[in-house]
Amino acid sequence: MTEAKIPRKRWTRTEYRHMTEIGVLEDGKVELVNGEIWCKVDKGFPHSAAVSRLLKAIASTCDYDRLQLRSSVPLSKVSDPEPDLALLAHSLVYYLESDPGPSDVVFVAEVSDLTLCADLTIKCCLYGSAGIPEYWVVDIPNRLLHIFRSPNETGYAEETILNTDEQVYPLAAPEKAVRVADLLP
Amino acid sequence: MTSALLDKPVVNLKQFEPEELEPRRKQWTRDECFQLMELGILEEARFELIHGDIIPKMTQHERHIFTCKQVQKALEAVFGEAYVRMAAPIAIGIHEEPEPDAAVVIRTGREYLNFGTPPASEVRFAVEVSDSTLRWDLTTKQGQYGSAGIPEYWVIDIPNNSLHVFRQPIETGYAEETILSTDDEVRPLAAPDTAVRVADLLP
Repeated sequence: MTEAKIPRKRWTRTEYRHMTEIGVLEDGKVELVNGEIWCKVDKGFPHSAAVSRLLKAIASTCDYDRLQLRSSVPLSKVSDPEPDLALLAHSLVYYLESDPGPSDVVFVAEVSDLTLCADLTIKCCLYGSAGIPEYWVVDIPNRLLHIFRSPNETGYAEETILNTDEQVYPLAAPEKAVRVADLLP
Repeated sequence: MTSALLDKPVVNLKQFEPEELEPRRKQWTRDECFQLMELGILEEARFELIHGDIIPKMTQHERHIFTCKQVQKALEAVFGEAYVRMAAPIAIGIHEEPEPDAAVVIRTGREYLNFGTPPASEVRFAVEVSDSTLRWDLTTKQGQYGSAGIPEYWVIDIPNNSLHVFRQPIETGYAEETILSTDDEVRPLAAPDTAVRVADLLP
């Protein structure tokens, strides 16, 4: 007999934030994905280096003040993920009073080494179904960039995979080219 | 964009095992759950902790409630009221705190006021009454109770009018499963001289 499906507790964003505030959960070490609490894996130097390169590359195409680094984006009642990088509709100061909603997120990116599988599946579905126009996965093990566009209910309709010889024009800055080689450590 | 899709995807998702898709889910401990109850985030007796996952308990149907009462009467007749716990937690390691529908333990309820939640080593046998949770009880729960070393585990199978008796705990569950019908009787390992009629355990 196969294992039964686990009817485990789904947390709401309110419960999740509450637990973070009172310290049951350690801020910055967890994220809320589809009602589940995920622990962040210890990422190591290649990951940090890639996040740093990604930030530099994207900052050259847009207003730096609109970029949010490894902070949470509330997407629904049961999701509060922390993408490695997010480009918001306004500068971060604008959101001091109230959190950004899904429609404020213009672009998100994850840098993936150990988390590649989850980033290409669960996270892809999460960001796409929230309607975020563009999602990148910087794939460190395969030295590739996955570009997801045309969000729909189940994820993204369009996936393009680029190698280090290629470049991409972000939807948010279509006149600016980003070289894939500049994103990888 | 300067490039079209590569000829074939370089990353084949089929190479990943399903569990790798959610490799990082938080595993809760019994202490953390206790803290969440004190803070009012979790409601006591409304959830179980299984392999570090918090599992909310379903609302019970009358059939389930009635059958639990039958089981309670049958077990109390054999072991005495003080040693039978109904829908009460047992502690397994730091990540597990299930609440079997019935459990027979080695000390009285009053003694546990001082000792705290009984550990699996003090559980002589556990019982689940299964209506809608049959698959869960026969697989996940079997694994949980068997690997904790609880000598005997019964699943009262309401839909099929039968009793599953699991014995010989091993790492993955139980080595022995016997399925009895309402014509049969069972002698619990913890009271081998006493026969319990399966019919008395079912609605």
